[in-house]
Amino acid sequence: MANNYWDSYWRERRSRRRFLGSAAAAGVGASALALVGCGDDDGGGTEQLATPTSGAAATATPVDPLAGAKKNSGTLKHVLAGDPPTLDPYGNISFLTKGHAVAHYSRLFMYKSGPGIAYGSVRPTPDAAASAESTPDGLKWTVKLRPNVKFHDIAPVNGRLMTSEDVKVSWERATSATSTNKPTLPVAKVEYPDASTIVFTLTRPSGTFLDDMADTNVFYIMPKEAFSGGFDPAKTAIGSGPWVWKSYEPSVKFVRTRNPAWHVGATSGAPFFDSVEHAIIPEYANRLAQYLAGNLDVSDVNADDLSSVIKQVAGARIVGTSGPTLSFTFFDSDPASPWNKDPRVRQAISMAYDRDVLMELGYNVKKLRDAGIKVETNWHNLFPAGETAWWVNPTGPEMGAAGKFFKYNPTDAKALLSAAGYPNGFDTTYQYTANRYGKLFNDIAEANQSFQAAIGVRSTTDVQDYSSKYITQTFLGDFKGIAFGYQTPFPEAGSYLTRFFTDVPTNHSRIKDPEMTKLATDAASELNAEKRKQIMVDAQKKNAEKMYYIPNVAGAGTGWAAGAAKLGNYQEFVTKAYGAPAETHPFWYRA
Amino acid sequence: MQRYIARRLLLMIPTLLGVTFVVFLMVRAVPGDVIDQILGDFGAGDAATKEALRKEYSLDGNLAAQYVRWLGDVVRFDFGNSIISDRNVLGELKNYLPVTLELSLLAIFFSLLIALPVGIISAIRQDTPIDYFCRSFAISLLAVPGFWVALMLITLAGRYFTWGVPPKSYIAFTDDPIGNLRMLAVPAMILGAGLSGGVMRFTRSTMLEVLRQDYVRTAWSKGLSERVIITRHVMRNALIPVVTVVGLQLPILVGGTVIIESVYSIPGMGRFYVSAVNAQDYPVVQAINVLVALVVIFANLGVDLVYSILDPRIRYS
Repeated sequence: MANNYWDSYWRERRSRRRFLGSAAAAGVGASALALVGCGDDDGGGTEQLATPTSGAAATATPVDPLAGAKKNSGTLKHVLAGDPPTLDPYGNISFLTKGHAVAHYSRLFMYKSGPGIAYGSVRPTPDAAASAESTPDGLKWTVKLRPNVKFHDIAPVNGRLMTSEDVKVSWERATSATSTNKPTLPVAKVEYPDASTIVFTLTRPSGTFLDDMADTNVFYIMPKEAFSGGFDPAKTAIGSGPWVWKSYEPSVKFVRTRNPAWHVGATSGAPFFDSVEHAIIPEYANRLAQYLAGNLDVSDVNADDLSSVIKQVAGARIVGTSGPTLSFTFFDSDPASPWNKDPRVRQAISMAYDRDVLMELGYNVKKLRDAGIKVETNWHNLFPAGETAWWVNPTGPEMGAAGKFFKYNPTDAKALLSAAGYPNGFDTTYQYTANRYGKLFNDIAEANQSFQAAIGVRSTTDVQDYSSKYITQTFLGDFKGIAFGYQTPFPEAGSYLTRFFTDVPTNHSRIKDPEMTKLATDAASELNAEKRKQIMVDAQKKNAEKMYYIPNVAGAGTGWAAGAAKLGNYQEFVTKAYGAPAETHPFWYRA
Repeated sequence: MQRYIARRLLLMIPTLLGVTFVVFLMVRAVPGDVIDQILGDFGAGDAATKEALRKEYSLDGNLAAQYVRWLGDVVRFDFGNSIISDRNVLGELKNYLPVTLELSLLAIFFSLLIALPVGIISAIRQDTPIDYFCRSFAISLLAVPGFWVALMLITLAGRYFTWGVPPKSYIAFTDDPIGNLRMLAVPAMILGAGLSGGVMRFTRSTMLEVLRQDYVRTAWSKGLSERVIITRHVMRNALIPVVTVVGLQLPILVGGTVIIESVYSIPGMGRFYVSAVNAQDYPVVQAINVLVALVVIFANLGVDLVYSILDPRIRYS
């Protein structure tokens, strides 16, 4: 009965992504996207890329992965693990709400998915925007809307064209006092000089502006009628996205039909399915049974079931995803605590973890490999292992001397503890939540404690309720002892640094290290791709040297999903965060 | 009888008032609140947004004022809107409650279908191998968790007999009665099997008690057949206490079917309630608790009234 947030999150994600190995997108940095124009629609369109400083342009090779797409593919039988808490995209931070919103509402930018684009190299591409251009200093962004973005043909909007007025009222809602997901962009002001132009003036250069605009957590463009009583966005949805609202039965299903006027599919005709039905099935066993019986086109698959699914379903399209969800150990901020007196204590605890054992515990690695299935077993660094564009392999040469703190070495760990003044170890409290993230997380949380005890870090366990204690206290640094948890996966990796090392509530361990803070702020504003990459690498190495946050492996293994044999290109599309309903589903078709 | 019913109905008022007071305080006694749930870790440290949202949902006044305002609405049978979904709570309950009631009644039906014959046979064949088998059967039904049986059935169906996989989405009785029964029959049987163990044991005990009564011995001595003695003289008296037990299962089921509902994707009260509790959605949690209290009170009253029908010796005044 693992019905909880992260299990659900993984189910949604796994069912939509393709495993594409660990190929990093070297050279694809934030600044390379300062000018993005859509020379074509669809995933196979041409994009113009340029840096804000040089203004030089490059043209990507046109590829049309949708040339063989079959239109009128019928109904996509999809599945959700739960209901969105609310349908209003600005009414709740839940990934289920965002997953609903992204099906109906456009953003200025979205993430481009398609053949050959790995998770770690997914980059923004225009959605409702036609182009975005920044000044050389990166302080002003001018976004032009596409001329053909139409809202769904439902009263009171009736298929009218989107204008900057819609962007304006949506931005005002996104930044209003009661908005649950206020953009964290450094925006000083937004101007709307004409019906198709929006000008963002920033307080500092941002190397992540387009990523932020593509982030499904941030900004959805709703028609102005949503804010003037024309319709209630908490009860229905009228947007300009790929899917048109048909019906919603709470705890039963959503039904959506294709938007024939979707601007992104103007050339290819996407979405290719006539409709999508999201059955709401909270229990994994039931989802898998429905998939095996042919009642669902997709399902998540536990590692334990993978071999039997492959045997039972002829042509099952199995996909695996290397973990994008960071799990980490963090510490209280009390100066008197052992880990704050001497960083060697944190290093020792990291070296106490046998990450290979933890990986086996969570992901059934040996059994799957014995069955001939390729399993990714990368460890997290300060960035999750799935963030291949930025992630530095903790076991690779790039980590340098700091790499040793990731390696299991209880003897040296004890020596470090002893050198730090704790030859007999010490007693503390170890806390995590066991009612949110699922069995895999819980198993590894328990194992961590055993590894700590083996080097003398003896702890009493405080298993916390997620809602009433963990997320409202421990996660915000209000705790005593050692904690273990997950970090929200951010589409833009720089967010990890901002959250961990600047003066925000989610600096869980209240780290005040000027060097780390500078790296975090530099990463946020650096426009040069190579320089930004180096900052990200440096941040991972510096963190490892001091182990402010100890990266773990839960979420770093491979998550599995299965698609029906008839989903012709199911394995070709991968995207970030909660964007699948707009970034992958519209491009699937039946073979 | 009418005066008795009127008095019982009047006694409901202080009981319900107490329920509303306790429920109102208890949901707020839990650390954190619904606003923390809405904002999650993204807005966990955003005091200004929290304050704005508390104001928007009228959670910023003192508790007494909030309670009085809510109670005023409840008296008018207005439970307000969910803070989380913004949907009307009563409207939601109208969707979820009938599903759970149907499931519960079916479960009770299956429970009786198993428990009564087994309990009766066990009693009239006391201390025989049949009795031992029936008692072991009852214990096993009590001991095996329903969710495990449900998971096993679904898993095995997916693996070995995919025709046995339940419909993937709930089918309303009004849309397709046969499909609805296909959806609910197995979960109701599982729930019923779990309930039947206790009822069977209770049936056996009361049957044995009645079988030892003088009037039963008299019936035997008159040479009446076993069928007549059991059905006409023993069962009618023995099953009266069983009615109490069965009657009280309904309110338990209304809030206690969450696991089966989750496993079989049934949109019932249990799932609704648990998600509301997890989200600390005050209006929903409060409304469901008041509703369950009402069900318990009316179930108790119903059981007492049925007593008077089953046993002519009982007269309420």
